[in-house]
Amino acid sequence: MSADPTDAPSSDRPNDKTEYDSDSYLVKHCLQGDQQSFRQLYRRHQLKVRSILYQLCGASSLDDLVQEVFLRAWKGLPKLRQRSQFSTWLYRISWNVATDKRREFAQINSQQQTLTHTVPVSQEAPSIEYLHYQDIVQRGLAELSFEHRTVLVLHDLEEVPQKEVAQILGIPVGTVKSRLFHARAAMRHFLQKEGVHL
Amino acid sequence: MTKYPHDDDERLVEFLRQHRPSVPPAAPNLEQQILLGASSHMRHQGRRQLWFVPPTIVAGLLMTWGGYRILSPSSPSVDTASLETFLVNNWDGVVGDTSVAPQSDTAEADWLSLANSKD
Repeated sequence: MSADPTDAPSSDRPNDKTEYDSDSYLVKHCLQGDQQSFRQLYRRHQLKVRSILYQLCGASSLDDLVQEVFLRAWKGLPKLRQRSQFSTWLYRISWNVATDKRREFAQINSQQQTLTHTVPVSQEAPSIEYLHYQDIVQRGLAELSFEHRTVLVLHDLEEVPQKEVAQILGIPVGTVKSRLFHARAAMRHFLQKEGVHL
Repeated sequence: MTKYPHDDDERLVEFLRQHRPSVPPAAPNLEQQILLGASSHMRHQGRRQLWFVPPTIVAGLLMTWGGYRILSPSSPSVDTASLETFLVNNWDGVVGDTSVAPQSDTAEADWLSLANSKD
């Protein structure tokens, strides 16, 4: 989970390749003050962290939130006991930052207003139909409770295994399954209401 | 046609992944900002680890000064009046030969001695 697919060991020196590219190896060097290793960790995980934060908090202050996550990670590295579980730990920090941000949102605006006012940015020119469905999904996510949305985003969108989701959120796997069931049901109901029949 | 919940879930998840909201791109300098922040934190940590150095130096100097004061033999306390008397007496003793103080008890003897010395 922690390593990219491109980190797959080579046939000649599988152990060395895995060792040098692993998160735990980079974390070890970070702890010695090596910022290049931290840069590698950032490049490896920033897309997923960014995506999680965006799905949970919207586009507002997204860069600031990503920065907050990685700075918290850098400061907390000495306390990380299981270096091999760096990604799980990093996603947990992301979730904590998103939770903090959500509390701020609650004080200013409603969550729905914040999410529905964000403008999606696309690299290519998508079709009207695609944009329409994208807007529905975005509004559907905003309709969910924060707990349900978190589980749906982590598991269904970011493809984090249920066991790891449980570790990130600090809840039993059974609770993850239960939340996932209800989140999907709510999302399915919303889609049907919007005229999307799967 | 019977729909199975598992199939429903698969279709739902597939639809969500296909139409997930696009994540806005990061600012071009975000990576550099994060690394600068990490670097700044590291420097701050370094300073925090050295916070005890100046107080330690001051404490060391104080202990050295205090130890010197305690361990060095204390000078005997001298009465100021006695010291003044001693100095006057000592001075008189040193410069006694040229002193204007009378060397004899009578003025006549002094004149006589002066007259003799002229001769």
